[in-house]
Amino acid sequence: MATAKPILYNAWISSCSHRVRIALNLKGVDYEYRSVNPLTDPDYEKINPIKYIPALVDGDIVISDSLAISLYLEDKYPAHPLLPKDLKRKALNLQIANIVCSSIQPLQGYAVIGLHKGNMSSDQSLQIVQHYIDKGFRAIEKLLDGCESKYATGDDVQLSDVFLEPQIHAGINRFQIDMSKYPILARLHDAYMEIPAFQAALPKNQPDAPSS
Amino acid sequence: MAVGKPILYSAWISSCSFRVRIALNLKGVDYEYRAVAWNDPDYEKINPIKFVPALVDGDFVVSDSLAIILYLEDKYSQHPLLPQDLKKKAINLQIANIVCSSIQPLQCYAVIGLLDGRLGSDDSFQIVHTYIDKGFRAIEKLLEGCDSKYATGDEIQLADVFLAPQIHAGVTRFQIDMSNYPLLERFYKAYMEIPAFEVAVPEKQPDAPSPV
Repeated sequence: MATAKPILYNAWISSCSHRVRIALNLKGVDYEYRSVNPLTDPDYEKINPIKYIPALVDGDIVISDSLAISLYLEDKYPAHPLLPKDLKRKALNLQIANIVCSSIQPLQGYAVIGLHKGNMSSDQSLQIVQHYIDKGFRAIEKLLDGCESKYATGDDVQLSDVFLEPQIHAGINRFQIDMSKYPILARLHDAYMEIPAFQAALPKNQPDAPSS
Repeated sequence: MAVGKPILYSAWISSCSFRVRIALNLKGVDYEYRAVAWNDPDYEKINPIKFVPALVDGDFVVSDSLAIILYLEDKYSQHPLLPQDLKKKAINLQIANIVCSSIQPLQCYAVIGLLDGRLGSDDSFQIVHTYIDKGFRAIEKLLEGCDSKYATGDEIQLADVFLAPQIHAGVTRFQIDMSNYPLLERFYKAYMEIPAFEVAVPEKQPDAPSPV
Protein backbone atom coordinates (compact mmCIF):
# COMPACT_ATOMS: atom_id res chain seq x y z
CA MET A 1 0.00 0.00 0.00
CA ALA A 2 1.46 3.36 -0.98
CA THR A 3 2.12 5.65 1.95
CA ALA A 4 0.77 9.16 1.51
CA LYS A 5 3.29 11.97 1.30
CA PRO A 6 3.75 14.06 4.42
CA ILE A 7 1.79 17.30 4.28
CA LEU A 8 3.39 20.58 5.28
CA TYR A 9 0.97 23.32 6.30
CA ASN A 10 2.90 26.50 5.73
CA ALA A 11 3.08 29.84 3.97
CA TRP A 12 5.63 31.29 1.59
CA ILE A 13 6.73 34.17 3.79
CA SER A 14 6.89 32.33 7.13
CA SER A 15 10.51 31.96 8.26
CA CYS A 16 9.55 29.10 10.59
CA SER A 17 8.04 27.28 7.60
CA HIS A 18 11.14 28.12 5.54
CA ARG A 19 13.29 26.18 8.04
CA VAL A 20 11.22 23.03 7.65
CA ARG A 21 11.16 23.31 3.85
CA ILE A 22 14.97 23.36 3.87
CA ALA A 23 15.11 20.32 6.19
CA LEU A 24 12.65 18.35 4.03
CA ASN A 25 14.61 19.23 0.89
CA LEU A 26 17.96 18.27 2.43
CA LYS A 27 16.52 14.93 3.49
CA GLY A 28 15.00 14.33 0.06
CA VAL A 29 11.47 14.03 1.48
CA ASP A 30 8.76 14.53 -1.13
CA TYR A 31 5.95 16.41 0.58
CA GLU A 32 2.64 18.03 -0.22
CA TYR A 33 2.70 21.82 0.18
CA ARG A 34 -0.51 23.12 1.73
CA SER A 35 -0.70 26.87 1.95
CA VAL A 36 -2.59 28.17 4.95
CA ASN A 37 -3.34 31.54 6.50
CA PRO A 38 -4.05 30.78 10.17
CA LEU A 39 -5.63 34.22 10.64
CA THR A 40 -8.35 33.48 8.13
CA ASP A 41 -8.64 29.68 8.06
CA PRO A 42 -10.85 28.57 10.98
CA ASP A 43 -10.18 24.86 10.36
CA TYR A 44 -6.44 25.19 10.91
CA GLU A 45 -6.89 25.26 14.68
CA LYS A 46 -7.69 21.54 14.55
CA ILE A 47 -4.24 20.95 13.06
CA ASN A 48 -2.40 23.30 15.41
CA PRO A 49 -4.28 24.70 18.41
CA ILE A 50 -1.89 27.63 18.79
CA LYS A 51 -2.59 28.54 15.15
CA TYR A 52 1.00 29.05 14.08
CA ILE A 53 2.66 27.59 11.02
CA PRO A 54 4.26 25.28 10.10
CA ALA A 55 2.62 21.98 10.97
CA LEU A 56 3.51 18.58 9.55
CA VAL A 57 1.09 15.72 9.09
CA ASP A 58 2.90 12.42 8.52
CA GLY A 59 0.52 9.48 8.60
CA ASP A 60 -1.22 9.66 11.96
CA ILE A 61 1.36 12.04 13.43
CA VAL A 62 0.58 15.77 13.55
CA ILE A 63 3.37 17.99 14.80
CA SER A 64 3.82 21.70 15.04
CA ASP A 65 6.72 23.97 15.86
CA SER A 66 9.63 24.01 13.49
CA LEU A 67 12.16 22.64 15.98
CA ALA A 68 9.90 19.75 17.02
CA ILE A 69 9.23 19.00 13.34
CA SER A 70 12.95 19.19 12.45
CA LEU A 71 13.90 16.81 15.26
CA TYR A 72 11.10 14.42 14.19
CA LEU A 73 12.41 14.50 10.60
CA GLU A 74 15.89 13.84 11.97
CA ASP A 75 14.66 10.64 13.61
CA LYS A 76 12.40 9.46 10.80
CA TYR A 77 14.43 10.34 7.68
CA PRO A 78 18.09 9.47 8.12
CA ALA A 79 19.34 11.05 4.86
CA HIS A 80 21.50 14.09 5.53
CA PRO A 81 21.67 14.04 9.31
CA LEU A 82 21.29 17.52 10.76
CA LEU A 83 22.80 16.92 14.18
CA PRO A 84 26.39 15.76 14.74
CA LYS A 85 27.12 12.86 17.08
CA ASP A 86 29.71 14.94 18.93
CA LEU A 87 27.91 16.35 21.97
CA LYS A 88 29.64 19.75 21.90
CA ARG A 89 28.87 20.39 18.23
CA LYS A 90 25.35 19.04 18.68
CA ALA A 91 24.79 21.43 21.58
CA LEU A 92 26.15 24.38 19.59
CA ASN A 93 23.74 23.59 16.77
CA LEU A 94 20.81 23.44 19.18
CA GLN A 95 21.92 26.65 20.90
CA ILE A 96 22.12 28.57 17.63
CA ALA A 97 18.78 27.13 16.44
CA ASN A 98 17.23 28.22 19.73
CA ILE A 99 18.68 31.74 19.57
CA VAL A 100 16.81 32.05 16.28
CA CYS A 101 13.56 30.36 17.29
CA SER A 102 13.28 31.62 20.88
CA SER A 103 15.26 34.86 21.07
CA ILE A 104 14.79 36.44 17.65
CA GLN A 105 11.79 35.20 15.66
CA PRO A 106 9.11 35.33 18.41
CA LEU A 107 9.84 39.03 18.94
CA GLN A 108 9.89 39.60 15.19
CA GLY A 109 6.51 37.84 15.01
CA TYR A 110 5.18 39.96 17.86
CA ALA A 111 6.21 43.17 16.09
CA VAL A 112 4.82 42.07 12.72
CA ILE A 113 1.46 41.16 14.28
CA GLY A 114 1.48 44.38 16.31
CA LEU A 115 1.83 46.39 13.12
CA HIS A 116 -0.79 44.31 11.35
CA LYS A 117 -3.29 44.87 14.16
CA GLY A 118 -2.54 48.59 14.41
CA ASN A 119 -1.13 48.36 17.96
CA MET A 120 2.13 49.97 16.92
CA SER A 121 3.49 52.20 14.19
CA SER A 122 5.67 50.89 11.39
CA ASP A 123 8.68 52.64 12.96
CA GLN A 124 8.07 51.01 16.34
CA SER A 125 7.55 47.62 14.73
CA LEU A 126 10.72 47.84 12.66
CA GLN A 127 12.70 49.03 15.66
CA ILE A 128 11.69 46.01 17.73
CA VAL A 129 12.51 43.59 14.91
CA GLN A 130 15.88 45.17 14.21
CA HIS A 131 16.76 45.27 17.90
CA TYR A 132 16.19 41.55 18.40
CA ILE A 133 17.78 40.48 15.13
CA ASP A 134 20.85 42.57 15.99
CA LYS A 135 21.05 41.16 19.52
CA GLY A 136 20.77 37.58 18.26
CA PHE A 137 23.10 38.00 15.29
CA ARG A 138 25.81 39.69 17.38
CA ALA A 139 25.65 36.83 19.87
CA ILE A 140 25.92 34.24 17.09
CA GLU A 141 28.88 36.09 15.56
CA LYS A 142 30.64 35.85 18.96
CA LEU A 143 29.73 32.16 19.37
CA LEU A 144 31.16 31.45 15.90
CA ASP A 145 34.18 33.74 16.28
CA GLY A 146 37.08 32.31 14.25
CA CYS A 147 34.79 29.98 12.27
CA GLU A 148 36.64 28.85 9.14
CA SER A 149 34.42 25.97 8.12
CA LYS A 150 32.20 26.10 5.08
CA TYR A 151 29.04 26.30 7.17
CA ALA A 152 28.30 27.33 10.72
CA THR A 153 29.56 24.27 12.59
CA GLY A 154 31.47 22.33 9.97
CA ASP A 155 31.74 21.52 6.30
CA ASP A 156 28.31 19.91 6.19
CA VAL A 157 25.03 21.76 6.51
CA GLN A 158 23.61 21.16 9.98
CA LEU A 159 20.62 22.23 12.09
CA SER A 160 22.06 25.67 12.87
CA ASP A 161 22.35 26.43 9.14
CA VAL A 162 18.74 25.33 8.57
CA PHE A 163 17.63 27.85 11.21
CA LEU A 164 20.05 30.64 10.32
CA GLU A 165 19.26 31.04 6.64
CA PRO A 166 15.54 31.84 6.97
CA GLN A 167 16.31 34.40 9.68
CA ILE A 168 19.05 36.03 7.58
CA HIS A 169 16.80 35.98 4.52
CA ALA A 170 13.95 37.65 6.41
CA GLY A 171 16.36 40.20 7.83
CA ILE A 172 17.67 41.18 4.41
CA ASN A 173 14.42 41.04 2.45
CA ARG A 174 11.89 42.35 4.94
CA PHE A 175 13.66 44.27 7.72
CA GLN A 176 16.53 46.21 6.10
CA ILE A 177 19.24 44.40 8.07
CA ASP A 178 22.75 45.43 7.06
CA MET A 179 24.60 42.12 6.91
CA SER A 180 28.02 43.82 6.68
CA LYS A 181 27.80 44.08 10.49
CA TYR A 182 27.70 40.28 10.72
CA PRO A 183 30.49 39.06 8.43
CA ILE A 184 30.35 35.37 9.37
CA LEU A 185 26.59 35.22 8.85
CA ALA A 186 26.93 37.16 5.58
CA ARG A 187 29.48 34.64 4.33
CA LEU A 188 27.31 31.71 5.43
CA HIS A 189 24.27 33.19 3.66
CA ASP A 190 26.22 33.36 0.39
CA ALA A 191 27.24 29.72 0.84
CA TYR A 192 23.64 28.65 1.55
CA MET A 193 22.44 30.31 -1.64
CA GLU A 194 24.60 27.92 -3.66
CA ILE A 195 22.72 24.90 -2.34
CA PRO A 196 19.69 23.64 -4.31
CA ALA A 197 17.83 22.49 -1.16
CA PHE A 198 18.04 26.07 0.16
CA GLN A 199 17.22 27.68 -3.18
CA ALA A 200 14.10 25.57 -3.64
CA ALA A 201 12.90 26.51 -0.13
CA LEU A 202 13.11 30.28 -0.65
CA PRO A 203 9.85 32.18 -0.06
CA LYS A 204 9.75 33.55 -3.60
CA ASN A 205 9.90 29.99 -5.01
CA GLN A 206 6.84 28.71 -3.17
CA PRO A 207 3.52 27.97 -4.89
CA ASP A 208 1.69 30.63 -2.84
CA ALA A 209 4.27 33.38 -3.33
CA PRO A 210 2.80 36.40 -5.09
CA SER A 211 3.88 36.72 -8.72
CA SER A 212 6.03 39.77 -9.19
CA MET B 1 42.13 13.44 38.17
CA ALA B 2 38.88 14.60 39.69
CA VAL B 3 36.48 16.08 37.20
CA GLY B 4 34.82 19.28 38.40
CA LYS B 5 31.09 19.36 38.89
CA PRO B 6 29.12 20.99 36.12
CA ILE B 7 28.44 24.65 36.83
CA LEU B 8 25.01 26.09 36.25
CA TYR B 9 24.84 29.83 35.76
CA SER B 10 21.34 30.64 36.90
CA ALA B 11 19.12 33.22 38.52
CA TRP B 12 16.59 32.30 41.15
CA ILE B 13 13.60 33.83 39.42
CA SER B 14 14.45 32.74 35.85
CA SER B 15 11.94 30.20 34.59
CA CYS B 16 14.45 29.08 31.93
CA SER B 17 16.97 28.31 34.70
CA PHE B 18 14.24 26.58 36.71
CA ARG B 19 13.74 24.11 33.80
CA VAL B 20 17.41 23.11 33.84
CA ARG B 21 17.51 22.83 37.64
CA ILE B 22 14.63 20.34 37.44
CA ALA B 23 16.37 18.31 34.72
CA LEU B 24 19.66 18.21 36.67
CA ASN B 25 17.80 17.08 39.79
CA LEU B 26 15.82 14.39 37.96
CA LYS B 27 19.06 13.03 36.49
CA GLY B 28 20.80 13.09 39.85
CA VAL B 29 23.54 15.43 38.61
CA ASP B 30 25.41 17.20 41.38
CA TYR B 31 26.16 20.71 40.15
CA GLU B 32 27.57 23.99 41.36
CA TYR B 33 25.04 26.83 41.43
CA ARG B 34 26.46 30.13 40.29
CA ALA B 35 24.08 33.03 40.61
CA VAL B 36 24.20 35.62 37.84
CA ALA B 37 23.18 39.11 38.83
CA TRP B 38 21.14 41.26 36.47
CA ASN B 39 23.47 42.95 33.93
CA ASP B 40 26.65 41.26 35.19
CA PRO B 41 29.24 42.45 32.60
CA ASP B 42 31.42 39.33 32.94
CA TYR B 43 28.61 36.97 32.08
CA GLU B 44 28.79 37.87 28.39
CA LYS B 45 31.95 35.75 28.12
CA ILE B 46 29.91 32.74 29.20
CA ASN B 47 26.86 33.49 27.05
CA PRO B 48 27.14 36.21 24.40
CA ILE B 49 23.39 36.78 24.35
CA LYS B 50 23.56 37.36 28.12
CA PHE B 51 20.57 35.20 29.05
CA VAL B 52 20.56 32.62 31.82
CA PRO B 53 20.92 29.70 32.13
CA ALA B 54 24.28 28.46 30.88
CA LEU B 55 25.98 25.19 31.73
CA VAL B 56 29.73 24.72 31.94
CA ASP B 57 30.73 21.07 31.87
CA GLY B 58 34.51 20.68 31.81
CA ASP B 59 35.80 22.78 28.91
CA PHE B 60 32.40 23.00 27.33
CA VAL B 61 29.86 25.82 27.61
CA VAL B 62 26.29 25.60 26.38
CA SER B 63 23.40 28.03 26.74
CA ASP B 64 19.67 27.96 26.12
CA SER B 65 17.61 25.72 28.31
CA LEU B 66 16.50 23.36 25.53
CA ALA B 67 20.05 22.93 24.19
CA ILE B 68 21.32 22.33 27.75
CA ILE B 69 18.60 19.81 28.55
CA LEU B 70 19.08 17.86 25.31
CA TYR B 71 22.82 17.79 26.14
CA LEU B 72 22.02 16.44 29.61
CA GLU B 73 19.72 13.88 27.99
CA ASP B 74 22.62 12.55 25.91
CA LYS B 75 25.24 12.71 28.64
CA TYR B 76 23.34 11.53 31.71
CA SER B 77 21.24 8.47 31.06
CA GLN B 78 19.33 8.48 34.35
CA HIS B 79 15.66 9.42 34.06
CA PRO B 80 15.35 9.81 30.30
CA LEU B 81 13.23 12.83 29.41
CA LEU B 82 12.32 11.90 25.84
CA PRO B 83 10.38 8.75 24.91
CA GLN B 84 11.59 6.50 22.09
CA ASP B 85 8.14 6.59 20.48
CA LEU B 86 8.31 9.27 17.76
CA LYS B 87 4.76 10.54 18.31
CA LYS B 88 5.20 10.97 22.07
CA LYS B 89 8.67 12.42 21.58
CA ALA B 90 7.28 14.96 19.11
CA ILE B 91 4.49 16.07 21.44
CA ASN B 92 7.02 16.57 24.23
CA LEU B 93 9.18 18.74 21.97
CA GLN B 94 6.14 20.64 20.71
CA ILE B 95 4.94 21.46 24.22
CA ALA B 96 8.46 22.41 25.34
CA ASN B 97 8.70 24.73 22.34
CA ILE B 98 5.30 26.33 22.96
CA VAL B 99 6.69 27.32 26.35
CA CYS B 100 10.18 28.37 25.28
CA SER B 101 9.36 30.02 21.94
CA SER B 102 5.71 31.11 22.12
CA ILE B 103 5.21 32.08 25.77
CA GLN B 104 8.38 32.87 27.70
CA PRO B 105 10.13 35.18 25.19
CA LEU B 106 7.08 37.45 25.14
CA GLN B 107 6.78 37.28 28.92
CA CYS B 108 10.44 38.28 29.12
CA TYR B 109 9.90 41.11 26.61
CA ALA B 110 7.09 42.46 28.76
CA VAL B 111 9.04 42.15 32.03
CA ILE B 112 12.12 43.88 30.60
CA GLY B 113 9.92 46.52 28.98
CA LEU B 114 8.47 47.34 32.38
CA LEU B 115 11.92 47.47 34.03
CA ASP B 116 13.25 49.71 31.24
CA GLY B 117 10.29 52.01 31.46
CA ARG B 118 9.28 51.38 27.84
CA LEU B 119 6.05 49.71 28.86
CA GLY B 120 3.55 50.76 31.49
CA SER B 121 2.56 48.16 34.06
CA ASP B 122 -0.87 47.62 32.46
CA ASP B 123 0.62 47.04 29.00
CA SER B 124 3.29 44.74 30.41
CA PHE B 125 0.74 42.71 32.33
CA GLN B 126 -1.54 42.51 29.30
CA ILE B 127 1.23 41.13 27.08
CA VAL B 128 2.17 38.48 29.64
CA HIS B 129 -1.44 37.44 30.11
CA THR B 130 -2.16 37.31 26.39
CA TYR B 131 0.73 35.01 25.61
CA ILE B 132 0.43 32.76 28.66
CA ASP B 133 -3.29 32.35 27.95
CA LYS B 134 -2.73 31.64 24.25
CA GLY B 135 -0.07 29.04 25.00
CA PHE B 136 -1.90 27.39 27.88
CA ARG B 137 -5.16 27.14 25.93
CA ALA B 138 -3.32 25.50 23.05
CA ILE B 139 -1.64 23.00 25.38
CA GLU B 140 -4.99 22.16 27.00
CA LYS B 141 -6.36 21.37 23.51
CA LEU B 142 -3.30 19.33 22.54
CA LEU B 143 -3.65 17.27 25.70
CA GLU B 144 -7.44 17.03 25.68
CA GLY B 145 -8.64 13.83 27.29
CA CYS B 146 -5.29 13.23 28.99
CA ASP B 147 -5.78 10.91 31.93
CA SER B 148 -2.16 10.09 32.68
CA LYS B 149 -0.37 11.27 35.81
CA TYR B 150 1.72 13.80 33.90
CA ALA B 151 1.48 15.51 30.53
CA THR B 152 2.46 12.64 28.24
CA GLY B 153 2.39 9.60 30.47
CA ASP B 154 2.94 8.34 33.98
CA GLU B 155 6.60 9.34 33.95
CA ILE B 156 7.94 12.88 34.04
CA GLN B 157 9.13 13.87 30.57
CA LEU B 158 10.48 16.93 28.78
CA ALA B 159 7.06 18.57 28.48
CA ASP B 160 6.65 18.49 32.28
CA VAL B 161 10.12 19.98 32.83
CA PHE B 162 9.11 22.96 30.68
CA LEU B 163 5.53 23.27 31.92
CA ALA B 164 6.22 23.41 35.67
CA PRO B 165 8.33 26.61 35.61
CA GLN B 166 5.92 28.39 33.26
CA ILE B 167 2.93 27.51 35.42
CA HIS B 168 4.84 28.47 38.56
CA ALA B 169 5.72 31.87 37.09
CA GLY B 170 2.12 32.36 36.00
CA VAL B 171 0.77 31.57 39.43
CA THR B 172 3.37 33.33 41.61
CA ARG B 173 4.22 36.39 39.49
CA PHE B 174 1.45 37.08 37.02
CA GLN B 175 -1.85 36.25 38.74
CA ILE B 176 -2.83 33.59 36.22
CA ASP B 177 -6.07 31.88 37.16
CA MET B 178 -5.22 28.22 36.69
CA SER B 179 -8.87 27.16 36.97
CA ASN B 180 -9.02 28.15 33.28
CA TYR B 181 -6.54 25.38 32.49
CA PRO B 182 -7.69 22.30 34.43
CA LEU B 183 -5.17 19.82 33.00
CA LEU B 184 -2.24 22.13 33.66
CA GLU B 185 -3.58 22.86 37.13
CA ARG B 186 -3.72 19.14 37.87
CA PHE B 187 -0.19 18.58 36.56
CA TYR B 188 1.20 21.48 38.57
CA LYS B 189 -0.13 20.01 41.81
CA ALA B 190 1.46 16.67 40.85
CA TYR B 191 4.81 18.34 40.00
CA MET B 192 4.96 20.09 43.35
CA GLU B 193 4.86 16.66 45.08
CA ILE B 194 8.13 15.65 43.42
CA PRO B 195 11.38 16.46 45.27
CA ALA B 196 13.32 17.18 42.05
CA PHE B 197 10.81 19.93 41.25
CA GLU B 198 10.40 21.14 44.81
CA VAL B 199 14.09 21.84 45.43
CA ALA B 200 14.34 23.62 42.08
CA VAL B 201 11.68 26.25 42.84
CA PRO B 202 12.90 29.87 42.64
CA GLU B 203 12.20 30.63 46.28
CA LYS B 204 14.61 27.89 47.41
CA GLN B 205 17.64 28.97 45.39
CA PRO B 206 20.74 30.39 47.09
CA ASP B 207 20.23 33.81 45.46
CA ALA B 208 16.54 34.10 46.28
CA PRO B 209 15.76 37.04 48.53
CA SER B 210 15.03 36.08 52.15
CA PRO B 211 11.33 36.08 52.86
CA VAL B 212 10.17 39.24 54.61
